[in-house]
Amino acid sequence: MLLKADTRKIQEQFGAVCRKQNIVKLQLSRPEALVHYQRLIRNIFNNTLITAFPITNEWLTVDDWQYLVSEFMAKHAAQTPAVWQMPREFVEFVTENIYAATLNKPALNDLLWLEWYEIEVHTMRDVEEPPIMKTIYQLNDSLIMNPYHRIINLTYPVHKMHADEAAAEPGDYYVLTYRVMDSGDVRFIEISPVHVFILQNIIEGPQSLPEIVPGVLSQFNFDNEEAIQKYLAFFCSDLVDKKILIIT
Amino acid sequence: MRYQVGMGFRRDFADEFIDNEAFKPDFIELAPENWIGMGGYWKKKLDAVAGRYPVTCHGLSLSIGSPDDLDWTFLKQLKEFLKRYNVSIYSEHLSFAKADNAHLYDLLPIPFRDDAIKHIVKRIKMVQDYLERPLVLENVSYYTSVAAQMTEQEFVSRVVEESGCQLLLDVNNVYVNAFNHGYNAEEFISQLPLDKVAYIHMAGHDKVSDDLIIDTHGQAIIDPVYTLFEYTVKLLNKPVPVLLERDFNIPETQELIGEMERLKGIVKKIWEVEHVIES
Ligand SMILES: [Fe+2]
Repeated sequence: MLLKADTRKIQEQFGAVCRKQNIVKLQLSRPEALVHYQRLIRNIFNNTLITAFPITNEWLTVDDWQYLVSEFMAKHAAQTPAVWQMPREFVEFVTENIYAATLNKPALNDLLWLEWYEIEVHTMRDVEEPPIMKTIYQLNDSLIMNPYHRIINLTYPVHKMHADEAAAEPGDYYVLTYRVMDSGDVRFIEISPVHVFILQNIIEGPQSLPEIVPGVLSQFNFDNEEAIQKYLAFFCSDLVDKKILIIT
Repeated sequence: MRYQVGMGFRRDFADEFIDNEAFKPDFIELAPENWIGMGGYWKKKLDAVAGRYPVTCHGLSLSIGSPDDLDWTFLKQLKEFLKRYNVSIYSEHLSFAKADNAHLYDLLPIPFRDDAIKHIVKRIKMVQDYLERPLVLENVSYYTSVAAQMTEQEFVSRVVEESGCQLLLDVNNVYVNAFNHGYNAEEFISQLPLDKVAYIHMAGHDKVSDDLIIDTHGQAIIDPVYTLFEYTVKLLNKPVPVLLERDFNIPETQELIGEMERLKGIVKKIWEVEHVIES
């Protein structure tokens, strides 16, 4: 090692003081300047997280928000070299360490994930997009999924109500977040478990609705095949219109 | 790039680079970390701007002065990115941004020490070998030195000379550091290995107290920094690209155009004359 142990230690201490925002005696030519490093670094973390999670930031009290930022900075070693991806590590940190319970904010995790997935879908790496050959859906059309999407499973319906109200309505909610292919805008729609089943089948490989329906009937114990197929055909047609599903 | 004056490409005013005909920097500079792996809306903007201007890159997270190992996964992505956008200059900071396995996303001052120099020199060579291009390292602003055993002057000069890297001379940073640490800015610049200067940064700063300036890139360049710039340009024996950095408090575009014109006027006045004398 060319770097001596004491120099390494000094650098690590300097980094730690900036993350933990505490006061440690270091060999500094201008000790009073340390607070500026602490402030600048905290601002970078805080501003990046506020930009990523505007709704969570608005919802939590200033104290709760600042507490989470402090905890994250002090206890989590940020891994990504890209600061815009750091908020994902924040969501994982908050989720894994059960801050929702600590702060008595049951919907905290769901709201953070919902906000994060919006960024993730918005910035998702471009892939070769399937060409849109046909825009009017017909029942036997084979379907594939727009590559830019996430299906999110929520316990609290934070996608449609204030997070405090959502906390009173736990359940099994699904939100489909997708990127509009032309504009790059991100939108989301609430879907049901049956819709999730359909989409998961389509994600596995191009399929038509009639190929999937028998599985729906057995999975969900439905017996009126005609009614179910009609209902799901309407769903598929709507998703084709929105370019979430693509006819191949 | 002769007499080129560029502008840092920021999302806050991305459309100006693409749509505003009056706003035409000679090249743009961007932080690869902010764009690597990005798709969708912003990727389209990046491609549009990269189709319109030559691109230089100014990195944030290489952390050349870090005690931690180099991040080879990141370097691989970086190399691909530099190739994809035909990047002529890749510069970074002579600082560290990661310690104890944690990124801090800011530029921390490296202890000005002999062992740190040896450590960094080795890393610079590794990075240059891998990227197959010279690394251009910037003298950073710092608000306190940390366990220093030599001057900033000696530290910067030795890193450049011993590693064979090039120097990004940030004139505003020299001004800021000279003010904060009480040295003479012109003397500092004149003693640098000026033949290694490949690129210049110019920016504004904020004076936060009577004895402390913070390098914010949030204000216009002040006159004494223009004067120091002119002094620097006269000492360089070849033209190098000059970049205007503006990250916060973005003004009307006309103000940025004015700053770029002023910088260009200075380099043209000095380098064109020298060029005539040379030929
Ligand atoms: Fe700079």
